[in-house]
Parts: sequence; structure tokens; C-alpha cells
Amino acid sequence: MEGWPLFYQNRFKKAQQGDQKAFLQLIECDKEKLYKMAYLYVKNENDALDIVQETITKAYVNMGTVKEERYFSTWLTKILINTALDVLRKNSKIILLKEEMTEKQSPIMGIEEKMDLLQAIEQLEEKYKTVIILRYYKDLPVQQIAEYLNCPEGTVKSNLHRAIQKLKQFYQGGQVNEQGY
Amino acid sequence: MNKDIKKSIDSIQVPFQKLDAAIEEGLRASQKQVMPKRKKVMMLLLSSAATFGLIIGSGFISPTMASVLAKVPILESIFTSVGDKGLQVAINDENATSLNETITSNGVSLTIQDVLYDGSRLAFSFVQDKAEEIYPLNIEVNGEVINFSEKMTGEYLQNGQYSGLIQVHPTKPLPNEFDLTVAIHQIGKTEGDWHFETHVIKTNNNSINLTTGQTAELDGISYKVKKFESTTSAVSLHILYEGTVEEIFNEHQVLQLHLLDQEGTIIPMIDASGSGDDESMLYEYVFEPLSEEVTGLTISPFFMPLPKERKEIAATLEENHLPLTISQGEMGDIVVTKIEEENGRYALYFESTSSFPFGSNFEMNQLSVEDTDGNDLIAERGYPTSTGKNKYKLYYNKPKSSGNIILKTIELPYMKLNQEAQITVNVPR
Repeated sequence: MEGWPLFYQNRFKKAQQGDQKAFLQLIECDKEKLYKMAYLYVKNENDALDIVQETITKAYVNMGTVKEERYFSTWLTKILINTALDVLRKNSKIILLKEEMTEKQSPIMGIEEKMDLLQAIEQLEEKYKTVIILRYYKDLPVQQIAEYLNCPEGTVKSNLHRAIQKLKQFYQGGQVNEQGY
Repeated sequence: MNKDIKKSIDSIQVPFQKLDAAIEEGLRASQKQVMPKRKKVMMLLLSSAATFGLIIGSGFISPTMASVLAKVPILESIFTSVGDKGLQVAINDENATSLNETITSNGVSLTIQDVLYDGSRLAFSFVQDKAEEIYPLNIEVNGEVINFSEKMTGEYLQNGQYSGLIQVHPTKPLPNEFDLTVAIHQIGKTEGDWHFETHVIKTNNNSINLTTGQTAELDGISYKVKKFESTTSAVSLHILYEGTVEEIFNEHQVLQLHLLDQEGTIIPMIDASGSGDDESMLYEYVFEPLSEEVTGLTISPFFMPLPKERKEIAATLEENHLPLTISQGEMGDIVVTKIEEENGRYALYFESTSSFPFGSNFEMNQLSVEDTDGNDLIAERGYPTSTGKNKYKLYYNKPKSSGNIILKTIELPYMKLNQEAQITVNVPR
């Protein structure tokens, strides 16, 4: 019963009520990460910006469905990843007609061709890329990743393991944590 | 490598100006969204008691129920003691599902007792070894995730366990019959997997259509009744306001609504939610079911002004000097008439002299009971309960140290029910 009125007390609730300033404040901490995650999927600036833009539209319209501020960042990430995957799906329909697709699909690297880690992550298949982002960039526990991807924890763990193995193949620097989670 | 991954992703260059422009464009595009992508406006915001955060998650022990609990089965008691009238009716319906399933994960047990769907909400009762927050709830209906708002209430049982009731208000109506899956991933601080499934059939509800299509106007905003239905377990009212979100909710005023019977008594609101776009807002209200005595209903929306400054009023409560009158400005006085000791706590009886009808939990008010050090004495997450028209009872605990008990309230902005903005209908009997 403290304060008046309760629902104007914080920016999250204000944002839920359609306050754009509050919404912008809320995403201030996340915006860089949103862009970087989008970039990992599409590997170019324009598409990454489009994905962020669409994520913002979807998030603002659906703010009312987030129950508490602590779920907001993960919820936003989920929207971004789904949007990125949608963009990739749409783009793949177009790219398929082009010849370079076969080359893109099989990134066979010689051992001597050491890539930097970022490129290695970019080369990962989407499912591996997603678990790597959620686990190591967003620091989500395996259980929460499983929940958001709607799959068993075992699948998340094995995808993380495979992702790490693939990164290890691509990238010879750094120490590989065999567990991966 | 874990740190290397983070570092490498962080090394991606960000075109900040373009990023900010994209975000702004994203926001602009959201303004153009039309149906069905309507903007959800904070679920439960209008819920009568929830408006001021009085009821959300409240666990309120009714002393009278303590004796009742000893005599009746747990699940009936929880629907009866913390559920509203609608749930009390629905729980006795033949279609209410008795599940009685206990799931233990990482040493934490959760028993789901009863599940029902009354056409507007899903409700299930549960028992925990101690009261711990349950979240997040993932609910699937026929394999599809649904959106909803939720409300949890409960109370401690005599054996020390905690019995609660979760009410889920789906944003879209559910089928008359469906397979329900509920997954919970965290209870208190324990992460785990509590998962149950059951088949649910909507309870019988003897639906009566009260009116549709009637229109009226509130402060220049016209509104239309899209649905007004009375059932044995609830009253559903859907109203389309021809105003934007900004007109209806802004820093100066907030839209509210009372449903009154022919005597002017408020029908308690169970839930309210709204969604809107650039042109209109649709509100969906759920009220407690009507008693046999109700022959007419009046829909009365009104704006609650938000005060620019908070003017606090304090008074010392002395049992020997009652009645105690505390002015709330233009909205009349609070008059404390009686204090009674009940099971180690005190019940404060008070009434408001205002002609404006306050709700069944004295909504829109901020009455607090404190000791001289400013400690809140109101019994854990308690709130006033109605004992008559604008008459209430509020429990508070004995102060730890001897000293005065201070009642605090605030000066309320002026509110009135505008008769021209009302729609009145008869209830067929």
C-alpha cells in the first residue's frame, strides 16, 4: 500500500501502459546486445538493424504479456531470435535460387585455416548458434533455455556440447570447456 | 572459451546512430499496428482491488475459516475460503475435475487438488509444504500455449501447510472441453519440473444474455456494450471505448468502472483487462455472480483523477476515544467505529461517509495502520473487506512495542458517478 499510484512507480509498468520513454529506458541496456545477436544470425548490418526494428515493434505491442520486469530481457531475446530465424527462413527461399548457396551451406575449413571465434560462431548452424547465444551471451541456465526453446534439457545440453565441439574444430584458440554448460 | 565467446560477440561493432533510428522506427511501426495485433494494456490493471496492489498474491488468513478448515476437506475449503462466490458455485459443479496429484521435484512437493474452467477463468487449488512463489506458469490448451493473467491467493492450514488457489484468466476464450497441461519450473528458489496434465470440461453455467449493443458516453468518449452475460459463476462485461489508450490512461486520470445493483451496491469485480489501438479500447470485466435479489444492474464507468501531490493525513487510534473521524478531503471522512480483538489480532471496523460507492475492498483508498516507528501493522498482505455499503473491516497486528497506533490515509481526488454515462438493464428472473 505504499506510494500513489502503485502502477506508475516504475518504468516497466509505465512501458506496459504504452509509455514510449519508459520503454526506451527499459531497452537501453539490451539494445547493443540485441543488435549483436541479430548480427550473428544474418551477418550483415542492414538485416541486423531490420531484425532489431521488428523486434522492437513486436515487443512494444506485446508488452502487456510480460508478467514481471525480470522476465523482460529474456522475453525480448526470444522475440529477437524468432525474428532473426524468420528473416533467415525468408532469405533462404530467395538465396536457394542462387549458386553460392551450396558453398555457404558447407563451410569446410582446413585445419590450418584458423578462423577467429566470432566467425566460427557465425558459421554455426542456427540451432547451435541459438544455444550458444542463450547460454554464453545471455547467461541463461540450461533449464531456462530448454523452457524457451520448448525442448528437453537433454537436447539443450547435447546441442551445447556439439556446438562447443564444432567451435573447437573451427577455432583452435582459447580453452574448450568439454561440458559446455 | 566461455568468456572468449562473450568477448568475441561483444567485439561486433554497433552502428549506434542507425540502431537508435531502427528502434525509433520500430516504435513508430508499433503505433500503426491494427487488429488483431492490439496493444495489451497491463492485465489486471482495472481489477478492483488489484488497482492499488492490494490483492495480488495475497495470503489472508480468515480466523473464522480456521475452525471451518478443521471440518471440511482441504480443496473445498480453499475454494470456499479464498475463492470468490463464482468459484464457490463452480467447484460444486459436476464438471469440476478432481486431480489430487502430488509432484515432487528436487525435494519440493506440489499437490494440485482441483481444476475447473467456468467459461471465463481456469482455477486450480494446490497445497505446498510452505508458502513459496510459484513461477513461471506455462499453460497449454490442446497443445498450444495460451496467454493469460493470473492471480494467486491462499492461506496456511492448521497443519502448517499452505493451501492456495491460482486463477488464470485466458486472453481468449477456451473451448468447452480441452486437454490442459501446466508446467512450473520454479517454486521459491528451487528450480525443477512440476508438470501435470488433465482433461477439463467447462462447468455448467446457465448463461443469461443481459444486453448487447447499448451505447453511452463518458466525458466525450462513447462506449458500447459488446457482451454482458450473467452465469452462475460470473458476470462478463465487454465494453468497447471509442478512445485511444492515451485518452483512457494518462498521467492525469485512469478509467475505472463500477457495476451496481438496483440498490447502488457494488458487484465485486474479479478481473479486468484491456487492449487497444489508435482508435478504441476493448475492456473485458469479470464480476462475481449475482445473488437472487439482484433485479437490475447499472454499468457506471468513471475517470479516477490522479493527484499531483500526495497529501497524507494521520490520526492516533485510541480504543477509548471512538468513533475516530479522519477527513479524506472532498471524498468524505473515514470513521472508525469499533476495534475488536480476534485470535491475537485486532479487527478495525470503519466506514466512509462519502456518497461515492467504494468497492468491496475499499479500493482507491490507502488506509494504513502503523506503530509510532512507522512499521506497518496491517496483518500480512491484508486488505479491508466489506461489511456493508462503504463499511469495512481491517485486521492489524499488535504493535511490538507499546505506544500509539497511527492511522494514515491520503487526501483523495474528487470522484463521482456520472448518471449520464451509465447504462441500466433489468436482470430477467
